[in-house]
Amino acid sequence: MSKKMIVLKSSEGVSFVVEEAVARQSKIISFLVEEFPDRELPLTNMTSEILRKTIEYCKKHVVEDDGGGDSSSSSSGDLKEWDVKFVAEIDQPRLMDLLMAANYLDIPSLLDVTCQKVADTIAACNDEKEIRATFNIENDFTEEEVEAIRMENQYPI
Amino acid sequence: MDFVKNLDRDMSLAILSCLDDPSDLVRASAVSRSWRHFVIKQSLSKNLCLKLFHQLTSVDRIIETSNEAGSSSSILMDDDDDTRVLEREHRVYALLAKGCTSSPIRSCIADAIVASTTDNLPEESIFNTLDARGRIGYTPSYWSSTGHHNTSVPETLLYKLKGDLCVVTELSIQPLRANFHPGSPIYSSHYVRFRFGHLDNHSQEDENKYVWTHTSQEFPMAQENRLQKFKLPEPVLCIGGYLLVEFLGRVQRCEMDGLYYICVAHVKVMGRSLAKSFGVVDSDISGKFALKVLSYSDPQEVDEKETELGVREIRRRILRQFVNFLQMHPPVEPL
Repeated sequence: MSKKMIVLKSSEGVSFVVEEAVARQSKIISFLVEEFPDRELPLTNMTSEILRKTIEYCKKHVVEDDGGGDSSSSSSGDLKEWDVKFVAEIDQPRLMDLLMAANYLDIPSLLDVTCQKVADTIAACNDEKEIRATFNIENDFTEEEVEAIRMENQYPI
Repeated sequence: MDFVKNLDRDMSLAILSCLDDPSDLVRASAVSRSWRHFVIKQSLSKNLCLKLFHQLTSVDRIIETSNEAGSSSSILMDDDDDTRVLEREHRVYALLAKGCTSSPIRSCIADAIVASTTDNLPEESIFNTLDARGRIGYTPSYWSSTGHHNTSVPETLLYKLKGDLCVVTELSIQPLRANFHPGSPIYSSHYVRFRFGHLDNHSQEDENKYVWTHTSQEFPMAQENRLQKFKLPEPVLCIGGYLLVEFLGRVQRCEMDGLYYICVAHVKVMGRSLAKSFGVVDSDISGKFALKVLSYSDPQEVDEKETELGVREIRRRILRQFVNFLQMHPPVEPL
């Protein structure tokens, strides 16, 4: 039995041939393949790198979800572990890209995993300066405001 | 990338709602103007408080004491009134979350109020359960219920906690081993259950009534002479400061009269008292409370150098209780 394949095209014009079941993890693609069967789907705001990562995630999850009756709770634990490793290997800018891709393609589980990873990154910062440095944020408080916030948070954090 | 500035609201909300330590949110609100706006406008500190302690859904307004009002002015001066209200809420809930999760864990019982029954006053008063010692001098120190034929008749001990808001983490009970009875029996109960709540201010009756807003599971109690720990699956935020300990199922019969008793040597409650930072103002008809901010100081710094109740104080209270008892039960005139 041959599996139905669909073609996704990145912003650089690179085509990715993916099993339909894999691509259907995305609610948007799921909708598009029903509306436009046998059409190549251009994802103009996703780079090849991010699209490849997204497909890697979907492949892993479709296999695990397909595991059938004998898949036990340990396999869902393994999957969680795999997710953690998957996002751990991605650097900060690409993590944000992946998060936006998960949002755009509507893949809730990938969105959860990436949001949690960004939150963990914030939690790992020792102070607000480190958060600014990590996310490349400009400190636009006036000196008085900085002092007022310092007073407000006078207790050790 | 500054996602708060560049991504849509829902995504920033999804990310920052994953933060589960109150101090992370405090740091996030100090990153930049847009981050501060976001944390405040989305009530993230309040949401986290509610996530950590769902009991806080019964708080519906905040009262600040006048001497602290000056310190609650807006930091982002260009804001409208709504934001000012939210900013104040942010401060209060950040402080509350901090107090509920990281102020020191201490003994939390302020006082014993009443027992469902007492066999002999004053020597078997509930006040004896405040003292950790099994005997004071040569006198055993414990509370005893009255005896009953029916083993299913429950008994309760009522305590006042230190502060209107207390996060209770662990409770311990030591049943009495009656060395002065033949066979040194232990008068424990089958199960123990804990209820947390507040005084009912709308009760029309003279007697104090209580409203129990949280009831724990039933913990099995061993018939063993030791301080037995009962760990709550999640810390419980008690709003209103009252704890009821329920003893369910009598196990030990007294050989002298054939009746079943429950006797307790010591009750200990561990948790975080927020008495220095917060009070609550009585619930209204709908059961909602106002949260009163007493101090914005670090709950860890204003920590009390408090000593446990002294023996003399306990003795004094037992005597007072005894006097009350005698006044309420005038002697029967001899025929």
